[in-house]
This record gives sequence, C-alpha cells and structure tokens, in this order.
Amino acid sequence: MTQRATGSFKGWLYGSGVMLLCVWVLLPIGLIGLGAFGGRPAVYQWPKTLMPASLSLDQLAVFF
Amino acid sequence: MPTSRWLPYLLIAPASVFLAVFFAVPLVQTIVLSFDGGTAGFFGNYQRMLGDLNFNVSLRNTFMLVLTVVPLQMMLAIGMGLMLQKMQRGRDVVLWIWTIPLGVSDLAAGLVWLAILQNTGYLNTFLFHLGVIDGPTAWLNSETPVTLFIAVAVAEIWRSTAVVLVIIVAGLQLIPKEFGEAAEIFGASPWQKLTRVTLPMLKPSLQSALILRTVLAFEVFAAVYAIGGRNIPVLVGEAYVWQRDNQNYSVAAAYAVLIMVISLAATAVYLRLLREKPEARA
Amino acid sequence: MAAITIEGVSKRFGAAMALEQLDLNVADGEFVALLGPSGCGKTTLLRIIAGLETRSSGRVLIGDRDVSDLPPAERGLAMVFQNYAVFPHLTVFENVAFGLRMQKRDEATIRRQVNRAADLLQIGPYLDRYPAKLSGGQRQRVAVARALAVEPAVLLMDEPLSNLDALLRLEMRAELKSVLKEAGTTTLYVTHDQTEAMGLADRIAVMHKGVIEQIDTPTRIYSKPSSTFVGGFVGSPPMNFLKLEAKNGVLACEGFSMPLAHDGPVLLGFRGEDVRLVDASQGLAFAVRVVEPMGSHLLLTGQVGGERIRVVAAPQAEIASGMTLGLQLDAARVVVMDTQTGKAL
Ligand SMILES: Nc1ncnc2c1ncn2[C@@H]1O[C@H](COP(=O)(O)OP(=O)(O)OP(=O)(O)O)[C@@H](O)[C@H]1O
Ligand SMILES: [Mg+2]
Repeated sequence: MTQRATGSFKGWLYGSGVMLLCVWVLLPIGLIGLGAFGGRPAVYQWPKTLMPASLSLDQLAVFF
Repeated sequence: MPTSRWLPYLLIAPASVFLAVFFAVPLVQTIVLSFDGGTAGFFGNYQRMLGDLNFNVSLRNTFMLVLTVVPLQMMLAIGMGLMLQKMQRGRDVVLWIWTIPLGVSDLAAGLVWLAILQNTGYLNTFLFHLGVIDGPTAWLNSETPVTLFIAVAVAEIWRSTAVVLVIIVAGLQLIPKEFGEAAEIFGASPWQKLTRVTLPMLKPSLQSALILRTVLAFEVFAAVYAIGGRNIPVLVGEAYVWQRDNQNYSVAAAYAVLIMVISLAATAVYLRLLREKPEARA
Repeated sequence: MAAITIEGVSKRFGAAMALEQLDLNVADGEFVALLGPSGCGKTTLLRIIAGLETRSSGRVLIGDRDVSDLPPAERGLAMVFQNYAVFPHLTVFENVAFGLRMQKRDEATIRRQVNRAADLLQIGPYLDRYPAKLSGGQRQRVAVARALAVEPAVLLMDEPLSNLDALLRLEMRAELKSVLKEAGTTTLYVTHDQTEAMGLADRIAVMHKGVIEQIDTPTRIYSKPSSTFVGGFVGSPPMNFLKLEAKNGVLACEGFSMPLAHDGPVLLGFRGEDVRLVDASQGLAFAVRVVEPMGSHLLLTGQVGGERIRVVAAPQAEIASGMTLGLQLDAARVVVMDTQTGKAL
C-alpha cells in the first residue's frame, strides 16, 4: 500500500498488467464500433479488415 | 414523545408500499401461477418442468456458468482493485476505463462477443492471419459445446466484472492504509498482507459483491441467447421459451420460482459462510 | 547495535516541505522524545524511518546498515501508529501475537511473549475480545503491546499514550521506561505531552516546521533553549522574552546587568519561576493583571514595559491584580537571543 519505488522489472510487469486489462475492456468495444460502420456486407466479410470495406452510415440511419 | 415511536415506520412507509405494489404482488402472482396446474394438479407445472427435455441441461449449464463466472470475476476484480490501489498516476482514468462495461447491456455485450467469435469474426480473422486456421471456423454451435460455453463465460465476465470492481474499490478505500502498513512492519509478506489483513477487512464488500453477482448470474440469459441461441440452454432461457413459444405461462412461472429459490438459497449460504462475528466489526 | 542515524532527510509533499535537511542521531539503547507542534512533521519522520514513506533526499541508517531503500519488514523495527491500526478482525491476543506469528515463532514463545506484553500494559483480561469491544485507551495499549511483543531493537512510537487518563498514563510511562531500559531498546517517541517527554526521555528533540530546533537533555531544553521557539514551546508557562538594548559589552536593565559581546537589540529570556519578586521600587516594574492560584503556586500574568510576562509566585503570597511588583533576574538563569533569527547568542 506504500508508494515505494518499485523495481523496474516489477514496475514494468505491473504496468503491462494494467495495460492488458485496459485492452481487454476496450478492444471488444472498438471492434463493435468498426462493425457498426461497416454496413451489411461487413458482417459476412472474410477475412475482416481493420478498415471496413465499404464505409457507410446506413446502420446508424436506423436511429432516425 | 409518543409520536416518535411511529415516525420510523412512517418514514419507511413509502418505500414499503412501493415494494409491496411493484415487487411483492407480482411475486405472489407468479408463485400462485406456478401452482395453478389446471387438470394436472397442484405440482403439475413443476412436474412438466422437471420432465422437460431441456430442464437438466439448462440447470447444469446455469450452475456451471455461475460456478465458473463468479469465482473468476471475483479474483479478477480483487486483482484489479489492488492494482488500482497501488497506482500513483492515472488511477482515475484506468478506473473509468475498467468500468465502461457497466454501461453495456447484457444483450449488447452478447452481440459484441458474437461479432468477435462468430464464423467470420475478428478472432477467426486473427487466427487466420496467424495461420492457425484455414478459413471461417465455427466455435459457437451445438457441435462445439466447450468453446460455446467458454465464449458465454468470457462474455459474462467481460460484462459484469465492473460491478464487482466498483464494490471492491469502494471497500478498499474504507480500509485505512495504516493496517496494511502495520502488517508490513511486523513482517508480513505481500501475500500474507493480502490474506491476513486486506481480504478479512474487505469481507463485507466481498459478501455484497458475491451475493449480487451470484443472484444475477443465476438469471443469465441475454448474453447466452445472443451468442448461442438455444444451443446452450439456461434456466431463464427455458422460462422464456415456455412463455413465448409454448405460450404456457404456468410452467414459465415454475421456472421463475425455481430460479428465485436457488438465488435465495445461495444468498443464505453466503450470509452464513461469510458471517462476520458481530463483535469483530470495527 | 541499533542506533538510528538520519542524515539530511527531506520530504516534500507537492510544494510543501514536511521535512527539511533533517539530521538526527539516536544512540543505541537511547530514548529520544520528539516534541513539536501539530503538523511539524513528527509522524512523517517516523514513517520515513520505518520505510512507509519515500524520502525526497537523505539517508537513514539503523546500526551501520543503510536502510534507506529497504522495505519496512527488513529494517528490524516495530512501530506504534498514531491511529493504533489494531486489526479489527483479530482478537487482542492475535493482534499482540501478529508480529511473532509473522516471524514463525513457536506457540509456547508466542504465548509467553504475548502474556508478558499484555501484563505490562494491563490488557490481560481482554485477550479474548475483539478490538471493537475496547475503549480507545485499551486499543492504544494493544497497539503498544503488539510492538513490545516482538522485542524490537528499534521502537518507533507515535503518541502511544495520548488516549489514557492521567493516572494510567503516569503508570504506563514508568513501566515503559523501565522495560525499554532493561531491554536496551532504541526508542523514538513522539508526544505532545511535555511532562511525558521530560519524564521519559534521555534526550528531547524539539521539532518545528520540519527541522529539529534543538536536541538536548530535558533539563537543558528547559533552562537553556537554543531559540525563542523552543523557549516558548517548552514549559508551562512558556519562557518570557524582553526586548533590551545591549551597549558597550553590557546588557542591563533595572536591577540586572550581565556582560554580553554583542551590541544592539536582543531578547532576554527567563523562566517565570527564575525571578525574585521584590518591592516595586527595586528591579523591573511588573504590573500584575491576572492572578491564577494553581495550588502549588500562583501564576501571575502582567506587563513589563509593553510586553506580557508570566511569573510564578509562592502560593501564599498576598498578591492581587492591579498591584505593581519588582522583578529581579538572575544572570545565571537567563538566555539571550538574537531579535532577528530568534537563536541563542
Ligand atoms: N500524505 C500527505 N500528503 C500531503 N501532505 C502531507 C501528507 N502527510 C503529511 N502531510 C503534511 O506534512 C506535514 C507534517 O505532517 P505530520 O503528520 O508529520 O505532522 P505531525 O507532526 O505528526 O502532526 P500531529 O502532531 O498533528 O500528528 C503537515 O503539514 C501535513 O499537512
Ligand atoms: Mg502525527
């Protein structure tokens, strides 16, 4: 519980643990975000790319 | 003053009335409905439920999910809470990120993981580029029950650990830092400090988190349905099927009552096992 | 074996300096009391010695070991926390036994040591209870017993008796002193209570704003303070200070003179009980404003010139407010301070 200067290895291990957990939380949200902009073909696209093949806002039109 | 005796009751009256109208009445109705077996007798609905082809499977799946998800997410949340406590910089940002799934509904969480894990999903794309698989591969159908189960468990852990984390972080903040420091000075290793000081002092929070999560985990449904459909039947899912597809409200009510009884029993067990000696309370 | 040496330790909290280039030596087996106003950095100093707080600069040595970067457990010391930190989920017995259990001592030793510490602090009857069922003073004694039970070479105590009633405190103080002397424990003891510091300590360190103003024997701290702060902080009533002008190697006022190798304005400090009260025609004119009978003595508050002075008189002296008396000072019992720096000349 103290704020002692941790050894560099421990500090590194610890920092990467925190980063890993952040990725674990954020990655799925990021991917679904991609899916939302990808349009219908993106759902069945294979293999998937990070930039959707056909960028479209059609899916969001559902809300209007 | 004679009025003061009634004042407390008066003050809790609105909440009590609210609970009675919106909670107790539907509860009683459900229980009554579950015993309304028509020609089949008093326990007719329960007999139909027990005789249902999917009953055993769904009971087993539900219990297995609870027994997998809850312990894993408790450990994960405790680890996250301890990490946060040690952080000097950026603590607030990390806490904020880690609690984002709080705002994701269980159906949405199921869809998120479906997008990742389905045949043409991101996981398979990743594995494809690594050369592990040759093309779209199915993980989530009835032929792959193990990966399907893992997928559901992962989605549930991803979605619902944040609640536990919030409870644990609040509990950790209530423990003055001097307790851990005293343990350190008197020679406790980090592990001893955790098991002999931090966790015992965190017991009330752990108990709340366990009860909350176990009860909710027995009600698991939307994430399961999104990912596996009926390939992995669970109790609430069966209640849903009986209610919607079979239009048999009574058997659905029987499922609902069963889930409630299981939840109550689990709560009782926790309250007993984790009971604090009243004199040990600070 | 286990002397404490602190060399140039500073501690900064953001922009605020809690400790500034602090040096302190506590000899092996010595008992040093840390005395100082609230917020002067006493707890911070103890926490740095214990390894619970990082220092901004400087070194901490215990024995001849540089422990500056060692974790608390490896420094071989015990500590009593200002807020006790008695574990609420453990019985009094288990609390006192905590350190011994961590050292994996055998059950018989644990039982013996715990009972010894408990007897000393008179908490034997409560060994089976949980701390929630104890009073503040009892909890505090559990914290002291927990530290004594491990028989540490170095003991750090942060106001360990502050919550006890006067009688019990007196008793505990005597017990502590004899036990620690016997065991040869090096002790650093924070207190607000001056009489406690005077009674217990081999030496007293007076702290002020993150530095040690003076470290000396209780008698010398009391009679020969090294600064106006120490004189004003230690003793009740505090030391009086009069502003005088030194000329031609002599510091003089009515009925008093002493040689002084300093010219210009100085502060003349004296204790209220070190003056003789005489007729108004001799000595300094002292106009009495308030007379407080304290039992063992009378406490007179009044003025000399424009300055407020407190003087102690015999209990049966017939003095009333409004009277004017004469004060005679004893050159052997005064201190002279610089008006600018407040330090002794
Ligand atoms: N964690 C911290 N963060 C910021 N400032 C702190 C911290 N701990 C102490 N301080 C400051 O450092 C100074 C010294 O504090 P410390 O607790 O050492 O005082 P103290 O002499 O023990 O006082 P008391 O007699 O009231 O216990 C105070 O001004 C305090 O506000
Ligand atoms: Mg303090």
